[in-house]
Amino acid sequence: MIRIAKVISSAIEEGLRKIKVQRLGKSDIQTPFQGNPAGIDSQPIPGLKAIHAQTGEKGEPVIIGYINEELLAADGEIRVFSLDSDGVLQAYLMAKNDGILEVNGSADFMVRYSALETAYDQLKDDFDNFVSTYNTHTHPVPGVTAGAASVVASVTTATGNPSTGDITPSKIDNVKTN
Amino acid sequence: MILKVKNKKFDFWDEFRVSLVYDAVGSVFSFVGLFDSDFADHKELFKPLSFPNITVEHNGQLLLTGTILTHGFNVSSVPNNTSLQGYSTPGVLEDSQIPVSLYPLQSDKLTLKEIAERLASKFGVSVEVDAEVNSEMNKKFDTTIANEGDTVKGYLNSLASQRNIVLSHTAEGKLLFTRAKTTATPKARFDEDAPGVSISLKTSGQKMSQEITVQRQESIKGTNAGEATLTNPFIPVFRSRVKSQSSGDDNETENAAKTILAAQLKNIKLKIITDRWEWLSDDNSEVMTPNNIITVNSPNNFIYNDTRFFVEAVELTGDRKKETAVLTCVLPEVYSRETPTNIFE
Repeated sequence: MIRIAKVISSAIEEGLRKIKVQRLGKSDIQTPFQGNPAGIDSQPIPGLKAIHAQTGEKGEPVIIGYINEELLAADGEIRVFSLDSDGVLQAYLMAKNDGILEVNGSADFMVRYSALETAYDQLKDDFDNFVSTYNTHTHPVPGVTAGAASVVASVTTATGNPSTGDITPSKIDNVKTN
Repeated sequence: MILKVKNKKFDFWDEFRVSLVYDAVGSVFSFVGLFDSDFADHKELFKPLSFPNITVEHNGQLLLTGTILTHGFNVSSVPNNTSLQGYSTPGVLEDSQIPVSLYPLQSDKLTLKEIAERLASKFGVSVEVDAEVNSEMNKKFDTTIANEGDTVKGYLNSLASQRNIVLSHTAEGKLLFTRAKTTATPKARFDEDAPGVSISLKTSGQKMSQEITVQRQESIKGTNAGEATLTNPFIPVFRSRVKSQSSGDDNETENAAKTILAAQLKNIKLKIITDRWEWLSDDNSEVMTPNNIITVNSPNNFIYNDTRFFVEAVELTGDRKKETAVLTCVLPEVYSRETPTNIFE
């Protein structure tokens, strides 16, 4: 028999999660273990509706799922989220059906560190080269002949180049955040 | 046969029947007699739906303490008999589901005795525990959960049977947790040529299997999936029964298989009809009751050797002319859960 029950509280006992639920009427309180998808460790907030199911062993029912509210995922999408005790959304991860993965928002793009580092290094190298060029350059002095005694001067021939640093490759088009 | 209500005796019965059953919480009775509508005591006894508490006695021996449930009136131009029917006091536990006032349905770290007393007391039923099962009754269950809709008896029986404890009742109307006295000295001997005795045997092979297997699921905590197979020595041809164990751990899987074998052995049933209510032994004054061992020899019932049988039920019937007792007997292994030897070989 499968019943809808209301979560009262949760506790971990010997590594397993027990969910205290109110099942039938006002006083049918039970504490079944919670079953999760493999690799998922989640704990419901009080008040959430739980799906309580009997197993083949009397006295060993399990919670096999929950009736979540304010769901958003469209066809083919999945959203993982956390709530505060009032049920207000705190953090989420959403794989959308257009290939976008949202992490806590969709206003901005995530970046790739390596590409960003490469672009930064390029910019830094370009800047260092420019500084080096800057430090060794001289200015022509009008009326002074190059090579004459006591006068050191030359005509500047080196010029700085624009940086080729580019952070465009670090933009991750399909992963967004706030 | 005397029926008493509030110590008032009623012994005017034209017919009566008391059926004492060992593995039942309620033995039933019925009495038929003439209702005198002007007689105050009769008004008390025959008042419909009054559920009066009664006792049934014979020759000073208390046979049953219970409640009248059914009154049947029938009036015509000639006086007609009125019937009363009921069962022993704990019988209410078989009719009643666990009331919400006793929720939650889940019990944690309670003994069977504590659970039983909690449930039975609500119905005014006292609990008695045989010394033989006292330690099992005081062992705690980690967690037990009754199903909504379980009767009190059904729930208690499911817990008791895990520990090979039988739910029964006392003559005083208490709920009794006990174990059958299958090794006792025979109370009486019945031979087929004894006067006033009729013996019949029925075996129902269709309800029996040669191979009995019990399997249990993996437990959430601790124990592993279990499987146990037993062979029924009475069945020479291959017939199989596979069942799931719904309670207890994997150490109890073999016990669960034994329980099924024991239940199947109930299909070897011996019936003895006698023209008296007392044991045919030295002590003839004692009325025959269940939970006793008898010895039977009846070649015409294919019982060639002296064979021990367990008296599971005794039905005492009578009218103004005669008394009859019907003993329903099974092999003692039905209750001891030991593997029997084939009595027909």
